Amino acid sequence: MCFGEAKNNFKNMQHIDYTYYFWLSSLFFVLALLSLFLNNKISAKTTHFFSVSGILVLVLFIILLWLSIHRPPLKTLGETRLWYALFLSIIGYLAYVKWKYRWFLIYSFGMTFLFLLLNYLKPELFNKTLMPALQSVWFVPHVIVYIIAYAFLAAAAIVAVNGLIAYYKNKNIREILLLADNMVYIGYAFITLGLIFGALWAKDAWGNYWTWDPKEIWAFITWLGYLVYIHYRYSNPAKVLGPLWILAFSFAILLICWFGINYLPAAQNSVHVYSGQ
Amino acid sequence: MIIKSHPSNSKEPNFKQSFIFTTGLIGLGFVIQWFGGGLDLTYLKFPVNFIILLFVCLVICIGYFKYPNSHLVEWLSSTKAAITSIIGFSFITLLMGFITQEDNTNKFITGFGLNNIAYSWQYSLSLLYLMFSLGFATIKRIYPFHVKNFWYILNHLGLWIALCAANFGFVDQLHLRMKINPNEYMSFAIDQDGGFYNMPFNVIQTKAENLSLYIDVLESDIVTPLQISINNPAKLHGWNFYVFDINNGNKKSSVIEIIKEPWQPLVYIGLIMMIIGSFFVFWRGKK
Repeated sequence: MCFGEAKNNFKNMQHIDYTYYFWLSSLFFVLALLSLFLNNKISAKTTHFFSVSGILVLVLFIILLWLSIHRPPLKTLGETRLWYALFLSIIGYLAYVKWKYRWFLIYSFGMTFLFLLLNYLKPELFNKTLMPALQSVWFVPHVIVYIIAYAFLAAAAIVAVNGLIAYYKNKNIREILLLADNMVYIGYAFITLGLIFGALWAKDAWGNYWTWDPKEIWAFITWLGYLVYIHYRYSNPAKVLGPLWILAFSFAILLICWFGINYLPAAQNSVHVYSGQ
Repeated sequence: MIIKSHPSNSKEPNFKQSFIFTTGLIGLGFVIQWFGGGLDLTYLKFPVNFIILLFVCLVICIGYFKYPNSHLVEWLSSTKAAITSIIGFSFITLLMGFITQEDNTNKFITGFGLNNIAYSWQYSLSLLYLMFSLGFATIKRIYPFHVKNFWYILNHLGLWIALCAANFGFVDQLHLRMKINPNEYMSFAIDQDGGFYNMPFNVIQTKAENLSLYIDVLESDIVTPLQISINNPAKLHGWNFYVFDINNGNKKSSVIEIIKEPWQPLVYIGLIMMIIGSFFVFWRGKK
């Protein structure tokens, strides 16, 4: 029965033809980034125009796909990647509008393009049904918020290293810390969401929102690390060296959480360690 | 009591002293664990957990409203207590991250409860410290209320509620496994400890296909049909039904998991408050 449904899907996919939408939205995203680099008065407007156009093309494609397959497109690997692409581009664009972070627009459009490209190169992904445990409304939001959180916290870590170098060269790093704060607040909001979405999803899937699974443990420590940073900055705004080291340390924990746990003996039974299965 | 450990100070403890206190508290937990063994949480079943939680709330309220200027209350609601309690709890969690949480033959590890940390004294004491510190910091912002503290309260009170409900409510959870058959009603299940549990209803399997289970639940002459699959549990009168082991085919039996978690709504209230609060943290991130 799975095969029959997949075949049917594929026919529908052909009917809508992903190719046009892929090229069109990618073209818009590339033009948006190009005008970002031109950096003049007109190009500032075209960046907005092309970004929104690229996103709208994706929205249109998802709506048409949804209508044609008569169910929410959340069941296959290819469909999930469409949602990643859509949300990453939307959030990247919003962050650009609010904070003028060019690097984040480049990063999120780059990731968007990557996910779209994977679907383009392997159209069979649209037929590859996700394993049942991943077929959940929480899957996409859980992954998306973590992709974004890690991007901002990685940026914060780069800022921190930059700050440490500047500190030991006796330069003023007050400004650098303010930038780090900014990144941490955004990243922290997203890992909070990621952690909670994960818990709510776990409740639906296994009946427990928290089981001290190794991935949960390390995600929780990461969360606590940035919590220490925020409180320390709040209570000692004048101190500069301590917070920089807390940031560097927290990011080291984040890296353990992200892929380090694959090598930890304590984590071999984690549901997030895929290597053994 | 805590103040007495710093008798020479006229002011509230500073950061260094808070840190020493945290280390001492966790050290104390290790000592109790070594000599007294792990915590038997079955004693904490309702209503004991509820009474303890009420007591914690009462201590926080009395402390804040009757002795607002005492060093103890000022210290517990300060960022010094906040930071050191978070670091203390991080340390305990870090141990969990490095030591496998399952049966162990090492006497040192089992003696300090390091393979079962969520049931240990060091975990409980550092959690209690975190709860008091978070509780006092929160009540300070709730009363007197200012609109600008609204988001602060959402984040902090949300975390406090979620932490308390999850840790105290955890002992009242019922996780039952029930084998169900296509042709007979079943009325008993097996609980976490392997004991029999008589359900207040009967369950029969009507269909099993496409990784979905169709069951009928018979409760005082009323039959309710339910469909469950992975990621899609069903709910009936406070009981949650999950697929555990599914055998396709109409003549084979399957296993379902039936869960009752009376404190769950409270945990969810806390988490939802934190979700809303995180939007504030997001918007705060500006130059």
